[in-house]
Amino acid sequence: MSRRLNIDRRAALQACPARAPALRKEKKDGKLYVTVEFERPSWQRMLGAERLCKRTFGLDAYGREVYAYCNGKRPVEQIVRRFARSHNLSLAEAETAVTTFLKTLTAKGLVGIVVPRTDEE
Amino acid sequence: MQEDAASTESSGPRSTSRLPRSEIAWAGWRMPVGEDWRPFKIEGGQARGSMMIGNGEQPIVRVQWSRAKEGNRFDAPAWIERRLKKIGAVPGANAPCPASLDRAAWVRDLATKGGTTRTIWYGYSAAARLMLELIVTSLTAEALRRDVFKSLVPRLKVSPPEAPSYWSVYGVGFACPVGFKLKQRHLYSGDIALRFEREKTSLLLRQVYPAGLAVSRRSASRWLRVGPFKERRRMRKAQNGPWRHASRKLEGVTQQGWKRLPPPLGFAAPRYSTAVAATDTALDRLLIAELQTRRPGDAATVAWAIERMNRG
Repeated sequence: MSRRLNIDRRAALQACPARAPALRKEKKDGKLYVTVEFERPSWQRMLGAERLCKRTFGLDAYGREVYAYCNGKRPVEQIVRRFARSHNLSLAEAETAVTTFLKTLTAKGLVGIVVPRTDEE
Repeated sequence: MQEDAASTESSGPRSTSRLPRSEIAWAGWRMPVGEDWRPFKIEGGQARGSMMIGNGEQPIVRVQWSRAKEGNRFDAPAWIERRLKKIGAVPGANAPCPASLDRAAWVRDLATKGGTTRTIWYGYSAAARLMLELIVTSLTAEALRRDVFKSLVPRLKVSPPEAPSYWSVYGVGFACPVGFKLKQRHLYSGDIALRFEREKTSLLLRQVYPAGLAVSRRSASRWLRVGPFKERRRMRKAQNGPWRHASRKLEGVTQQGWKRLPPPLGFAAPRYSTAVAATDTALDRLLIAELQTRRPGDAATVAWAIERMNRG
């Protein structure tokens, strides 16, 4: 059963996003198409769907850059700073853009977030 | 695909005391701030208003400004005295006073009803006729409170109404010619625009970024046709041409023509629009300026506004 983590902003910025294993990566028309396998939700399986399915997502140049940074070792804060520097953005704007995009990548199953364990846990 | 390189950047907690690396400039004042500081809320206009500034974690300082009307003999010490009397406080010693201000006073750790304390700093510039009030509460981390009064307030600058004003938020800077007053603002991530007015003349300053993405979705001339603010006048016939600024490596398009109200009011109060949209390749930003005047001309003001963007 999945457990929902309640973490503060600082812990979230220290978390390290890691790319999920991709079945296929293909560059086409300036975009990167990533195919991942994911498990369907239980209600879909109850209705007769197969357990696993494949999905392909297209990432533009900016998305590809953030996706490439997600190596499981680099914290979100560092990704934000790199993105801000490479595109001459303020930290505030880069933080909003990168964290929103990482949230999308996580929801789509392209990226998982590794949260450092704290003493309270 | 970019290879994962071993990181050399620090991922530890940020220093509690940080040197200013960015700047916020608004309504005649400008203050260096920490690189992750941002405006949380802006209220009011050029003559009077307030801005709450914070970082990603907390609000830090509230800046309130008010400009004395031209011709009024403004008494700064009396104003400060009135403000202190209103809150029932006695001024503290050694208030930091920036070189650009004439007078400053502060009240430290004034207790509030909520059980917190706040420090209020007052400053006045006779040349700029600008009164400033900075409020920092004890809810803000102590290191940041110290930064505000030790590092930032001494570097605060003001500009007189007779000089071009500079506006900067989120690392995006605009210079506005003398006499224009801020009328509208559009502060969205990646698309920041300010509209100023001087009598019947209107000046729009806008930056869209990253320019590569902006121009890939909509051409520069199309960006000129679609403004961030609602406008009743429309341009029917536009004269388009290339535009270039050699020293700053800016390239783009210029567009000129009459903007008119929809029929049958097309004859009434038309405005001549002179606009430039140029790409700053160094910063990857699309710089846009549009001047609407009652008579044709004044392309120089538009060129000046474009040239001075992000130039401090």
